[in-house]
Order: sequence, then C-alpha cells, then structure tokens
Amino acid sequence: MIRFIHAADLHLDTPFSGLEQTSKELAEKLRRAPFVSFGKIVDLAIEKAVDFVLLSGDLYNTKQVNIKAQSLFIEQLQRLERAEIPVFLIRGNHDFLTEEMQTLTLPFPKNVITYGPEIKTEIIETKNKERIAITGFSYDRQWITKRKIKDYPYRHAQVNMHIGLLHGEIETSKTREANYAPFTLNELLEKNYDYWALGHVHQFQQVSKQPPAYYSGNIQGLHKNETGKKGCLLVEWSPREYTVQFFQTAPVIWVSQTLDLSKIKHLSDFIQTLKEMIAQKNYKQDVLVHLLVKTSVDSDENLIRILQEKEFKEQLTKQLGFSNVWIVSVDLSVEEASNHQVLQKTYPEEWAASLQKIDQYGAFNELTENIFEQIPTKYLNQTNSKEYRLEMIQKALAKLHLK
Amino acid sequence: MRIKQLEIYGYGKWVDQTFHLSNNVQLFYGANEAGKSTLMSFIHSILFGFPTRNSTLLRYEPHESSKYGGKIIANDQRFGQVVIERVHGKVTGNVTVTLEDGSTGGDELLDTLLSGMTRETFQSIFSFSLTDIENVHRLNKNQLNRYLLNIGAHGTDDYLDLIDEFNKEADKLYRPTGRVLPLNQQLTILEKQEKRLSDLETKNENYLYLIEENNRQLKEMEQLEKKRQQLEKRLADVLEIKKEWHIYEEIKTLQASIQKTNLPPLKEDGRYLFEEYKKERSKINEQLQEIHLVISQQKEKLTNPEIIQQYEQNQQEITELEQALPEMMEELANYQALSNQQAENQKKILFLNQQLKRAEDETIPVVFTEVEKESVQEWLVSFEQLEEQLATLQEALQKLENELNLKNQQLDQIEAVMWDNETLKSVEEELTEGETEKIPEKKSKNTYLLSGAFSILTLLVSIFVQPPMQWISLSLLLISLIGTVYLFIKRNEKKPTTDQKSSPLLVQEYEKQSQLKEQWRELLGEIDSVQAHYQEQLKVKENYLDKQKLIQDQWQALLLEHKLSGQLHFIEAKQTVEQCNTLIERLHQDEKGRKALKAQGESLKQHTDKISNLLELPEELSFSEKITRFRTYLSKLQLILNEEASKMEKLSALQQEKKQLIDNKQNTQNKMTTLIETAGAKDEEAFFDLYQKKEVLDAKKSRLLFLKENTPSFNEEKELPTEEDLSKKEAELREDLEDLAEQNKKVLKESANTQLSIEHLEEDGTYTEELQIFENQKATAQTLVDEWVSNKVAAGILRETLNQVTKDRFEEIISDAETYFHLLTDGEYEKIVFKEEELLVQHKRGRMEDVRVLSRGTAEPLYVAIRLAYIKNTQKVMELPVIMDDPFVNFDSVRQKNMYQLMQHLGNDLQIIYFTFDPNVHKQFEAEQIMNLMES
Repeated sequence: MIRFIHAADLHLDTPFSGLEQTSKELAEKLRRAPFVSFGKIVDLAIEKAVDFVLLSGDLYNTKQVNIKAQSLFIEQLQRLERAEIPVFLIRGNHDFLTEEMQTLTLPFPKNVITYGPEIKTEIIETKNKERIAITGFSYDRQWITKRKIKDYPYRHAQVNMHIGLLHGEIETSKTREANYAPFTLNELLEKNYDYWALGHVHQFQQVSKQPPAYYSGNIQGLHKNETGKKGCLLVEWSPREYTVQFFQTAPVIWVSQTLDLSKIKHLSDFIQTLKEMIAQKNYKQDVLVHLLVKTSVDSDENLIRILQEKEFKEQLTKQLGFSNVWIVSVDLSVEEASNHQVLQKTYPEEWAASLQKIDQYGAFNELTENIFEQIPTKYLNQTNSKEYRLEMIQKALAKLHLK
Repeated sequence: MRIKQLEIYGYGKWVDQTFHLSNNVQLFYGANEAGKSTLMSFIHSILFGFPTRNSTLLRYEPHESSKYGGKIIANDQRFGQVVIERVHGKVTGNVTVTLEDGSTGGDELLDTLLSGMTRETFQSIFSFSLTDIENVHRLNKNQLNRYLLNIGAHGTDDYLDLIDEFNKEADKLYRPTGRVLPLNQQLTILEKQEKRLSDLETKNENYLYLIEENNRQLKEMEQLEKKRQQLEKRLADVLEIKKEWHIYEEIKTLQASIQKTNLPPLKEDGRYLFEEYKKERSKINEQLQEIHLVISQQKEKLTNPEIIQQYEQNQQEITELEQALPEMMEELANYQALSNQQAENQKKILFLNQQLKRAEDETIPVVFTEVEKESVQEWLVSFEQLEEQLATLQEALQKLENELNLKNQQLDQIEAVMWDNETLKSVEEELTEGETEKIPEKKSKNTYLLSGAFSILTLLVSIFVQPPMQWISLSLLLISLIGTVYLFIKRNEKKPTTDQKSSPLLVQEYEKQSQLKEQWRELLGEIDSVQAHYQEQLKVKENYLDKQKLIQDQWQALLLEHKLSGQLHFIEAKQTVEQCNTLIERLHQDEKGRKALKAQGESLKQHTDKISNLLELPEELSFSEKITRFRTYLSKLQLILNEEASKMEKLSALQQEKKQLIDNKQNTQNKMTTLIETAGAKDEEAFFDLYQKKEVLDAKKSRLLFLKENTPSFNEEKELPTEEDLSKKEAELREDLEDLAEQNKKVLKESANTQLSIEHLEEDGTYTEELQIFENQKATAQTLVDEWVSNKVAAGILRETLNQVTKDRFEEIISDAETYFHLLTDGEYEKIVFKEEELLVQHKRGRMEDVRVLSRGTAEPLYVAIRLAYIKNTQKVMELPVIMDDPFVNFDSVRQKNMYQLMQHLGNDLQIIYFTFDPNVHKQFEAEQIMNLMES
C-alpha cells in the first residue's frame, strides 16, 4: 500500500484579497495562515509516515520573491527531510522559474526532487520496496499554451505505481482561454497512469474516479470566493483500491453568510440573529465572513442605510464579539419582486434590452468612461470581465431598486 | 383604469361623501377652500398611500370624524371593476383592493394595478399644475430641448434626475483628473505602496547575493581550516621526530645488531620442549625408582620365593613349555597311542602267528594275491555248496529214512489193527445196506466257536452301552462264556462216545478197515519209492565228497607256496588267507609303528629333556612321567602362583609399568636427542647455548618492534634528519600557521557581517505585511471603483432604457403632439420634428424653429401637447387619469378655448379629472361634466 500526500497551490506568500482594512491582529493571522496550513500538512505527512509528498505547483509567487516565505517553506521541507520523506515538486504559473531566475531561489534540501521545464520521470523505491514513477514538468513562464500532456510518456512497465504531476487547467466546453497547459480528461486517461496529482484549480475536485485524478485545491482560501474547506489530500493506494481523504489544514476560512432582512426590524435584531447563526456553526478556525443581506420591500430604510455604511463591517465584527470571526464585506441584494422601478414596470422589454446592451464589453466601457483603461489593472482585483459586468449590473439594479 | 367613483369616509372636510365620475372629462368646479385640493389629495392618497408624517404633504385627517380614508371604484381593462379602499392602519394606511371577480389584495395588487407607479412619478407624469406650466420658463433653452424630449419620450424628466443623481454619486468618488476624490486618492496611495514594494523587492534580491557571499566565505573558511589542519599535522610530526630522536637512534642500532646476528633457525619452543623432556625424564626416573621399590616390596610379600625365583628365572622357559604342553600332551598321546597300537599290533601278530602256526622268526609268508583269494573263495564256495548239498542230501536221506521208518511204523500200526483180507471182505458185504451221517460231529466242533463269538460280541456291547443295558449285556456275556467253555469240553468228550455205537459201529468199522487197507497198500508203495530214492541220493553224496577232497588238496598246495604250515585246514582257508595277509600287513605296520614311535619319542624327548633339566628329573623316567611331573609342577606352580596371583598380578602390573616407564624414558630420551640434533647442536650444553643466543636476539627484536610501534613518525626509508634540520623545519611551520590564523580571522569577521545582514533581512517580515497592505488598498480601490461603476451603470441602465423607449415610441408621440400643438396654436404650427436629438417645430409657413427660440406663448402649448401626447400613447401601459389642477389660468382666452377643446377631444382616449375655478369652463363643457363643489 502506497501512502502519500497531494497538495498544491500553496501560494505561500500571497496576501488575502478583498479585505479593505485589517486590524493588526487579523493582519498577523492572515499573514501566517498559508504557512500554518502548510505546516499542518507537513505535520500530517510525518504523522502518517507517508512514502512521499507531491506538490503540484504555485508554491509561491516568484514575481514577488519573498525570502521569508521561501525560507519558511524550506524549513518545512527540512522537517520532511529529517523524517526521510521525499518531496516531488513542480512549479506552476505563479512560481515559474525562467533560466535567469534560477539563481534567485534558495536551494532546497536533498529530499526534494524538482522538475524542470522538460518533462521527466523520476523513479523511487519506498521503504516497502515498492517502485513508483512520477512524471511532471515545471512552468518556465507564466502561460503555457502548448499541450504538454501529449509529451507525457505512457505508464512505465516496471513500476508498482505511476503518478502524473500536472499544473494546468482541464479543458471543458466552457473554457475560453487555454493558457495553462491545457488538457482533456481523455488525454489524461490515455496515459494509463495510476494517479494524477493536479494543481492550478483552487477548489478540491475529483476529475476522474478510475484512475483517480484530483485537484487538491489550494491550502488556504485568499478570497471571498474561495470558501469552504481548504487543505490537502491523503491518498492510500493499492493496485485494487484506493482511498482519498481530504484533510482540512487552513487556519482561516472564508464563509458566505446570508441573512434575510424580511423578519428583522431593528439593528439589534440583526446582530442577534447573525450572532446565533454564527454560534451555531461553531467554527474552530478563524473565519472571514462575507455577509449577504437580502432586503425586501418592507425592509427598514434606516437599517438599509446603516448596512451600507463604510464602517459598518468593523462595528458589526466588534458587536458580534467572536474572537475568531470577522465580517469583511456586506452586500445587499434586492428581491426581484420588490422592485420599485417604474421604468422597468412600464417598459420591461426596453429595460431588459438595455441590460443586455450594457452587458457588452464595449458598451460597458463607454458607460464607464474607460475607467479600466485609466486605472492600472495592478491596482485592482477585477477587470472588465463578463462576471464583473454582471456583478456591477446587479449592484446598479440594487441601487435602482432601493431608490 | 378609469375612476368611476370616489367614496370618502373621512378626508379633510369630506366626510361620508361620494362622488361619481361619470364622464371621461370630469370637472370639479369650486372656489378656494372648496375642497379641490383635498379631493386631489384624496385621490393620490387612496392610490399611493397617506403621506407619512415626515412628508411635507398634508394628511387631511378629519377633525370631526374618526373615520379616515375611503375608496375609489374604477374600471380597469385587465381586472374589470376594481375597488381600492384605504383606511387607517399603518402610517400610509391599509389598502384593500377588490377585483371584479371578488379576489382581494393589498399593496402588491395595488402596485400591479398602478403599473408600479409611485406618487412622485404619477404626479410628474399625470398631474398638470400651474407650477408645471410655469416651470417651463425656468428651464434654459438647452434644458428645454432635453426636457421636452424627455417628457415626450418618457412623460417625465424625473428619470433624468435620477440619472443625474447616479452620475453625481459617481463623480463624488472619482474623476479622471481628480486628486482629492476618494478613488483618486486611493490610486495615489496604491502608487506609493507599489514603490515601497519594489524597494523591498530590491532588498530581497540583495538577500540572495548575501547568501551567496556567505556561502563563499564559509567555503573559504573551510579551506583555511583544512590548510591549518595540514600544517598542524606536519608540525606535530616534526615535533614528534624531535622528541623521538634518540629513540630513532636506538632503533637504528638495534636494527644493525639484529642484522649482524646469525643464528640457525631454531624451533621456537625447542628449549622449552627440551626442558620439558628433561623434567619428564627425571620424573620417569623417579617413578622407576619408586617402582623398583614397590616391586621388591611386592616380591617380599611372596611366600614361595624359591619357586617364584625359579619361576622368575625360568619363567620364559616355563612359559614356553607350558605353552608347548598341549603339544606335548598331544605328542604324548600320540606316542602312547602309537605305543599301544604297537603293542596291540604285536599281540595281533602273536595271535596270528599262533593261528598260522608260525614261529616268530620264520620267513614272512607271501601275500595272497587277489586272484588267489578269488580262487580260494571259489574253492570255499564250492566246498560250501558241496557241504550244503551234502547237508541237504543228508537231510533228504534222513528224511527218507525217517519217512521209511515212519511209513514202516505206520505199516506196523496198520498191520496191528488191520483185519486181514478175509475179514474185510466179509464185512464189506455186510455193510452195503446202510449209511449214516456223520455230519453232526462236524457240527459240534464248531458250536463252541459260535458261542465264543457271541461272548466277544456281548463284551463289546457291554463296553459301549450304558447301565442298565450294560447289566443285561454283561450277564449275557457271562452266560456265553460259560456256554463256550462247556461246549469246548463237550467237544473233546464227544469223540470217545462215538466209538460205542452198535450197528452203525460196525459200518463204521468196516469203513475204517477199508480205508486202512487202502492205506497199507499205499504205504507199501511209498516205501519202495522212498527206498529207491534213498539209494540214489547216496550216490550223489559220494560224488560230493570226492569233490571236496580235491579242493582240499589244492589248498594244501597253496599253503606250501605261501610258506604256510600245511596244518592249516581248508575249512579255515578264508581265515588263513586273511590272517596271512593281515599278518603281513601288521608286520609292516609294526615296522612303521616302530619308526613312528621312535620319531615321536625323539620329539617328545626334546620337551621332556627340557623338563628334566628344569625339574632335575632322572633320565629314566618316561615321557609320560616326565610330562606328568611337569604338569604337577605346573599345577603346583599354578597353585602357588594363584596364591600369589593378586600379588603376582600386581607385580606383573608393576613390571609392566616399569617396562612402560622404561619405554617412556627411552622415548623421551629420543625426543631430547632429536631436538638437539635438529637444532644442530652437538650436545645439551651447545643446545642451551643456542637458545640463549636466540633469546637475546628475540628481546632485541621485540624491543625494536615496540619502539617502532610507539614511534609512528619513524620512517624506515627516510634518512634520519639531524637535530638542526628538525628545528629549522619546526620554525617554518609555526610561521605558516600564524599567517593562516590571521587569514582566518579576517574571513570570520567578514562572514559574521554577512550573516548579520542576512539575519536582519530574514527577520524582516515587512515585505509580506506590505504586500497585504497593498492588497488591502487594492480592495478598497476596488470597492470605490465598484461603487463608481455601479452608479454609472445604474445611470446607464436608465438612460439606455429610455433610449430604447425613445426609439420605439417617439414617432407616435411626436405625431400626436403635432396634432395637439397644431390645435393649441390655432394652426400656426404644423409639425414637430425630432432630429439628432433636437426638437424642432415647423411653422405653417414652413420655417423650422428650434425649440430654444420659441416664445413662452408657444413653448407652453408645446409642452402641454407633448405631455398629453405621451400620456395618450402610454395609456395602453399606464391607464391612469390625468389630474389637472387649474393649470391654464394664465392662458389667454384663445389658448384656453383651444385647450378645453383639446381636452374634450382627448376625452376619447383618456380620463381627465379637472379641478378648476375658471368660470369659462361652463361654456366649453357640458353641465353633466361639471361637479360643483360647494364651499362648506
């Protein structure tokens, strides 16, 4: 039985995005969160005495070469070295290494086996004398449009298990850009490997059951869309069966909490209801809450106004009084039925038509007076993407409805 | 919907009042304070809710009555007759909407009914007031155009305001050229932070360089250390050599000495072995001495010392003899046997001589050959045969004689009893008459046999049968036995009685006499024959006798030949022959025997001579005697020995041991000799001497080895350096080491500095913090942007919708507006044109006038025309009444007239509720269209 850990997208020194203000205390927690998560992963590896650890790319952002992050990472790798656990590591689109940049990284300890831009296969023997082949490659630039999967060799004949490491995006019908070593499920299955350790998608996902292919997801959510459990996979594989266990290691989790304003008249009610909801969940980790407030026709205007205030988040966090819960954003949504907009009622077709028009890239740009061309994208998290436009339209509609 | 009825429970001055609006154009005529405003307010309130207490509008809650509110009954195209009732309740009142089908609803249903219209929007679209008219002037020319356009398109320019609001909100946040606006500021902050980050990044790059530098320094230090170690080692070596210099000398000396010494190869432990052997030998000697002592002691214990001594002295011989004893015995036996045989033979010879009537010294007879033997045998056989024949013959003769005698006797007998012939004859004649049976006699003979058989049978039966049957058979047996005996006796008695019978007796006698005669005759005949026979036989006998004589003669001749006495009878010929031959044989044997005996005797003599010597026996004793003596002696000896057996044993053992010791000693001696020889020494002294020398040499060698081992610095090959050389070397090395130490110190210092810098950088977590700060700032910027964008989008949605609407409907509206305008301006203006966002009017004379240049008198009608045109065109979507609050008071009469005309005209298409105090209306409108509101 072969036992190993599959983790990816560590993004060790990547900051949390979407938070406007953080207290010093929270800031510290957040800074340490990815490292704590990785530390827990290493703890798990040592505790379970795994045969090896697979890291499927995006370990940190090379563009922002952070020595502290690298040295902490290496510390953890050294722990694995002392426990005699080898580590197989590929680089992804965030931590790619061009040739020149090779020197700007700290050297890894001896138990770490890295892969270069060329696809190679490493074969190791575990303590139980099982032979395992691990094939993979590292990104040497940010985008790889080439179908690298095609160059992967077929399953090695004289090994007990063949594992593929791949940092990239699986192609589906919805894929628009194929910039991350794209591959299809069939292309994976063709190689006849026993396990695919995938990276790049930040959500834990089973791509294939037989043979098993998984995205382990990132180890710490950094954005309000990255809610849910974050951690790594513990895989126990035998030729006839396997188990994949997800282990939560993230110390900070993002949570989306919805609150219906229809029953609530006062702010105190609001706070109380929210308190109860959170207490019920009994969170062990530190929680960043994205609060979604559903308003209705009858919602108290004052309350709505308070909710929209800038400092409301901090106040609310304080009022709730949980030491491990922070409210980091508040969004108001309006029920469809309760729209006051005469114009929409009067001219529904024209209204719908206008929404459709605005949804277009060009119209939107015009509408927004090319703001996205005026503000450097590096200063923003969002760009004029379809999702963003829809979001903005929703926001605008909310504004219109609440007028 | 078209309002049909107003039912007021309590509103302002109106309490429990109902108004029927029967016409499309319904006028409410009344002076101020007549309640026009109240009614207008009522309509608005019921439809859109009582004004909130914050609002500037009046609630018209009645003072006198507690009832408040009322209902509006209207006709709706969708729902038929609807009743909208609003009363006290929440602030805006509780409304109940009842549809024609009976279903009811509240605010939501009302909202649907009103197409989502709000009070404001409704008022802005459907209400005409003086103020509205007057407002037209307030707009500047540019605004007017837009305003009209918008009204034309949308019925109201409220939306524009809304749009403007959103844009203003957006502008509050950001302007491309702005600096202090929030988003602008935020962007500046981001710029600053970015710079800060890049500064930190440079620091990071530095870090790696520092790491490299440190590595290099560490390597350098390592190398220096290595060098140092090497130097140290060499120095140590030199010092070693110095220290050990005299030792080296000694080593050299020893080496030389060893070289010189020349010893033959000596077995390593030779001397030791020799010593051992020597010790062993003396030990053995001791042991021998001991044993001697013990042996003599043991000997003393013996009781028959002389014999023992003799035994000891002659033990070998005695043993030999003893061993030879069986042989001797055998020989003796042989000898005696031979002797006996000889004696026997002699006897036999003697006997034979007697038999053969020979004297001892006569010539030896000649052997009978086989042929001769056969002849003799033949003779004997013949003789025998003849003898037999003679015997037979004699027998026969005898027999014949007997027979003769017998027969003669018989004859005599018969003659004795016999009748003479005459008597016989006479009786014969007498008896021919009767015959008797003589059978029963025979029978009686056999009767006793039967009885006997029966008795046997009963015996058998009685054996095999049980009592009482057995008793029966036994009694039968008894009876039968008695019977048998009786009959047996009776049988014998029977005969005599037969003779005493009478006439049958005679017969019998006759018979008997006849027979006798016969017999007599026969006998005579027989006697004759016998006689003859007898004579014959006699002759034969003679013959035989002659033959026999012949044979005997032959025998005599043979005897002579063989030098044998003639007195030997033929009868014993065979024996004679045999005896003769035997004699000859025996004589030979005798000869042989004698020789053998002699030989045996000699052999025996050998032994017995020894015995004689030993035991000092007289010569004369016989072998047997001697041997016997010897045996006696032996047994005596044995006895003695037995007596002394254990002692002897012990002695013997001791003797054995002694022998063994002697052997061992010899052995050891040999080994010692071998050692000496192997070592090449001529004697023990030389041997020891050699070993002594070896010892010395070994000592030297081990010393040498020891010195060498403990002086690792000594090198065989190397020349021993002089003391000065060493000192010089030492000094050199020390100098080098010092230099090296200096270097090391320098590098150490450098390295420490580098490490410090590294540590400093490592400790510094600032970069990550700053990254997070940057990220946070981005988020803030994003929020601002989102806010800005959503405002813009909201405005955009509105505008876009309006635009769309404009596109769809504007044509129609303009067309209608044209008509109305034409009417209102008395035909002065013919067209309204909408071109490129500009509204133009065409004078009947054809000139196009921009709206901006219109006079008030023209602008106002245009305004009204467009508004009414809009309302009319949107009745499908928003079927709501136009409520006019005396807006046209300032119109001139012509205009007014035209307006009222238009209103009537419009009554076809829409409901107009006109609150007025203009008396002119009576002229224009039907009485039923006018409701008078009395002042109360």
